[in-house]
Amino acid sequence: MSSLSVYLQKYSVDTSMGAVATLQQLSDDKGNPVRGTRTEVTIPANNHGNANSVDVAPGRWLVEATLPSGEIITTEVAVEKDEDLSVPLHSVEHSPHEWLGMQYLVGNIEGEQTLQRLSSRKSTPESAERDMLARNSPPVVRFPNQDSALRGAAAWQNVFKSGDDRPAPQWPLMEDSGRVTWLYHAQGIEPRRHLARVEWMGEDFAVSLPLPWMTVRFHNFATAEIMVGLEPRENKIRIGVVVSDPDFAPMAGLMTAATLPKAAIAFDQARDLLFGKGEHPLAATAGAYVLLAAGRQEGGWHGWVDNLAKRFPEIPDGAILRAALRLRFPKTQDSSAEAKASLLEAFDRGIPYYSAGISWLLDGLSQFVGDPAVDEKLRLVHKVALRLDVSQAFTVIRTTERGK
Amino acid sequence: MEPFLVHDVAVAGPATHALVIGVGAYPHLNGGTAKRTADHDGMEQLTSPPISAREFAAWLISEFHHPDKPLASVALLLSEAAPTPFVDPTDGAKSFAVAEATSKNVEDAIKAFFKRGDQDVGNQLIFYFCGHGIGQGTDTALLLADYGQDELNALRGAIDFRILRLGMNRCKAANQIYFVDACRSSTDTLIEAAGNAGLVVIGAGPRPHGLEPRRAPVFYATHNGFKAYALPGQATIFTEALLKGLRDLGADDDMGDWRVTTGKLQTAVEHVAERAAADIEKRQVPTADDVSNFYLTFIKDIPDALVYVVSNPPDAIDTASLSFQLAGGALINAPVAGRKPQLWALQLPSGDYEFTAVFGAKPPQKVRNHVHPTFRQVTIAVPP
Repeated sequence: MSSLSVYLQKYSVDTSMGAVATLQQLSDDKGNPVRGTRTEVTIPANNHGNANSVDVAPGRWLVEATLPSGEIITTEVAVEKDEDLSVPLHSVEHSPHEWLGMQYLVGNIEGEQTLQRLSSRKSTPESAERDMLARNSPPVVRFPNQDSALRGAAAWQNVFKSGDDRPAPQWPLMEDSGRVTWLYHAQGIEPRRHLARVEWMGEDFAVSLPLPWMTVRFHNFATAEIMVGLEPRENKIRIGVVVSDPDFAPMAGLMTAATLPKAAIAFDQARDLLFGKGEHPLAATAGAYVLLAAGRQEGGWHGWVDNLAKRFPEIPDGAILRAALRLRFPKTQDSSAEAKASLLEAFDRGIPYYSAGISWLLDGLSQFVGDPAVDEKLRLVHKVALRLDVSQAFTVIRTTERGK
Repeated sequence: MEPFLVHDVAVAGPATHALVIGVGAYPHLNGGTAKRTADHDGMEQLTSPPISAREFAAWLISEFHHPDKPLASVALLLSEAAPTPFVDPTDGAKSFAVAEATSKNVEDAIKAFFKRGDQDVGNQLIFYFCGHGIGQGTDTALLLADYGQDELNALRGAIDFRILRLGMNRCKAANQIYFVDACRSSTDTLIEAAGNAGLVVIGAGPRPHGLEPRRAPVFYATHNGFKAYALPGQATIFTEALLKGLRDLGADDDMGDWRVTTGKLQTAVEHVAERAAADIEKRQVPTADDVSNFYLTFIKDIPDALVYVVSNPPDAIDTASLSFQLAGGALINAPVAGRKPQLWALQLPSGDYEFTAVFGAKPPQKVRNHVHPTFRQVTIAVPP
């Protein structure tokens, strides 16, 4: 048997899930065309050749990998009988900094070449002024101990209030003021909701941090990275959150719209995350989102979603997922009523950890509009949803009017 | 023929129905023919949407092919500065007056679209909109010709797209696809102030019990909060990319024949639109939502794929000569028009090729590659 050892060559990250890839056989070892033989795998990203080795028939193979950022890499290789062929894949671009490696991998920031190209464009006087202002006055990031802004039914209103708890601003861990980008690290091991407040350029944001977080492989506490910067195309504020768990972070990248179609390839990984919910409930939650979004019903994971909702009442997303499961795959006449009850319970649990949760909660409640038990909650969720950054996996809410 | 239809064929069993809307003339926006709304937010008249919508409708009628869900109907509504009839691309003798894309007409057309889809759970629905859009958070308003006519409620002339898609969940048709070719930026606070993103034509509700789960991907021309682009007098970048995807670049042959899947179509649209926008020094990244995979259309001929030939080192291709040969075919010199800095771009029918590059006086370098949609990158190393 032959094999292809596929990995993504990356200097700035080391993860077991660097990309999802399709291996398609083009011809056999005698050169006869072969059609329809495909294998879908996830591949690691690293700089030391650690690869996913996939047994294949000898012949020519096409490898097409999709990164969480949406970038697609293709290559064609020929593997001999009994050969283990190394297939390193290379991105067209690379991260602007090593410290932004994970943010780049999940698509929160453009590659170095794109940033250079964008910065060489002529800017309008307005955007130049905004750019200058941004460089000279870095963001203010605080980590208040304000559980009520995210937890419980009152959170849907409290999230817009800055509250009395205004701890000293955090220093950025890294910065590139030339690129108008700052990176902060948040730690949190207490079993409560963890919040970041970002104030910058006249706008305020509430950021739900995915903490406390136990890493999937090593079971130690991870930090959350918060990148704050200006989006270079339209000079809007951009906040990117990733968890410093290299074996999970790319899954969060797959949860954004641009890469969700490829999420189905990570079906097994998502299911493993869901099944490992006892130790990693937030990772399990992400796995459940991917499984539901992929629309595949096999694999016996439906019951695990119910368990997730029951066992972790502090996670609003669990109840949302339970409702979404019943709305998308109704099994009985009661599924609709069960979904509604679960949506109302989710509201009472507070602001979801994941932005998809707010979107799905809104869509779910919208299906019961006119019900007195629903309407006021729907109005409050809608207000938050209109301020939601839907491009992010984790919940980021603008709490003030947009700055000019 | 029912109102708004420009194509109507009786089909027994599952069928495909399409609703196509293109709004370019906005009387109440800048440059319009009526009183300008206070909620114009700098928005102006557009020339591309009616062109784009016409091209999409023409593709449906002349090229769409699905053996299990043949095309049964296409409804077309336009708003254009100088309205002209729609001519059937397969029969020039058939000409249709096109209804204006006002909120009243669009509301009626959507209801009829719902009813047609509701006739069979096996039906496939295709919704296409091109025009101005406003995006805020989870919501998107699709602006119609009478946007701003109501001074106290500008969004009365818009469709609340999120609710529309939720409402269509009640329609039996299990396969539905939505193409939204619109900006998703502009007015930041209008939707929030109004409490809605436009007209609710079909109220949201759970899918009736017992129906097959719905698959309803949405393709947006751009990320929420960003602009979508077009050159005046031409179809939009998104629609051009969409049509390339539907004709060629979104095809796959994993089932033996060539079919466009929704997943592959997204890859194609994103790839083509992003490159086309970059050519006019813009950045436009189409995105999608809820992309469950299904076969949207079938392709009878072998589809084209994009090929990018690069060299190692990268600059060497700039002065190289390049030829290619399809297995069993003639040797062809690569068209010079495809030469770009550090890249030679080609569009070739799918198949096995041998590419030959000559770098100065060095011996020719040959590389074999299987060309397949959406694109392939072929790297040729310069000999020592």
